[in-house]
Amino acid sequence: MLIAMGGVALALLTGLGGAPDGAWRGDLLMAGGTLAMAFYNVWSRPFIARSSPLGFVTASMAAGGGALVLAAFARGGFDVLPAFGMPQWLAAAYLGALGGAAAFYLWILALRLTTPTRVASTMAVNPLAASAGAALVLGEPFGLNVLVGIVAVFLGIWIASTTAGSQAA
Amino acid sequence: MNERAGVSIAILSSSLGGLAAVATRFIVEVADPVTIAAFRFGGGALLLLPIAFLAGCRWPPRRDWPGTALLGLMFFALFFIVYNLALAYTTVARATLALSTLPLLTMLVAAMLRAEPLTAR
Repeated sequence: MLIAMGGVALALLTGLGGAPDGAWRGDLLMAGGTLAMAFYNVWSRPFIARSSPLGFVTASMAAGGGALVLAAFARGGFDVLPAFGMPQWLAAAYLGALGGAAAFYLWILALRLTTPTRVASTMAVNPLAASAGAALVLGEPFGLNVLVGIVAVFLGIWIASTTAGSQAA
Repeated sequence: MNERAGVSIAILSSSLGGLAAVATRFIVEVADPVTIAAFRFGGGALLLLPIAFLAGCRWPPRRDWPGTALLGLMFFALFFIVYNLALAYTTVARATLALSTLPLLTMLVAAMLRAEPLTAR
């Protein structure tokens, strides 16, 4: 884990010069938000065990998603729909189908099969996929610092995952 | 076998999630973070509900409904509003790298809640 985290720190710190103004706000928000995800990973396992991966993720996503839809309606968030072009509709479709339903069903299924920490360790793949996609589609920079950081986190995943089975919770 | 399958499935999940950050960047200039999260998880739930009913899966028992709902609100609502807000300030690469602190936080939370032992690995 320390190798993986060191890779993250290295990539972030060495890439500060190329970051947009105020990027540190986004970085802090992301770091703070992951604490909620960490608690979700751990607390959800007994609920999954008493139901099923599909049942639990559907029920919990319906609760959170339902609240979000109500909040968006109340704030007039859906008033922007007339401004959506094809890129926005395609992005929204991806978010609902693959970024929402598929990604989190698979995440919950993984929590059923292995430990929360091992599942969480694969989050290191997230920036690789995101950076590659952003470089291809958005033209965002993909520097050597990001690559070095990602190699470090993959090494961390491998080390954390190749342990004796008795260490699993 | 389950461990390897679990890690492989989680890798696929994380890949799909990483690309969601790219999709979010297309919408973040037009819609607010709450609306973007509503598309993702309101839309996701609409897709999963018929699949779950048709599959005849086991639903959370009644005594777990409050906890399930709270976990859903904490994660799918709170976290992703923060996530979408962050993507308005920083790049996809930086935002998802910051997200990579999740393994350490999960390890520490799991140890604190005695769900997993801390090991040298």
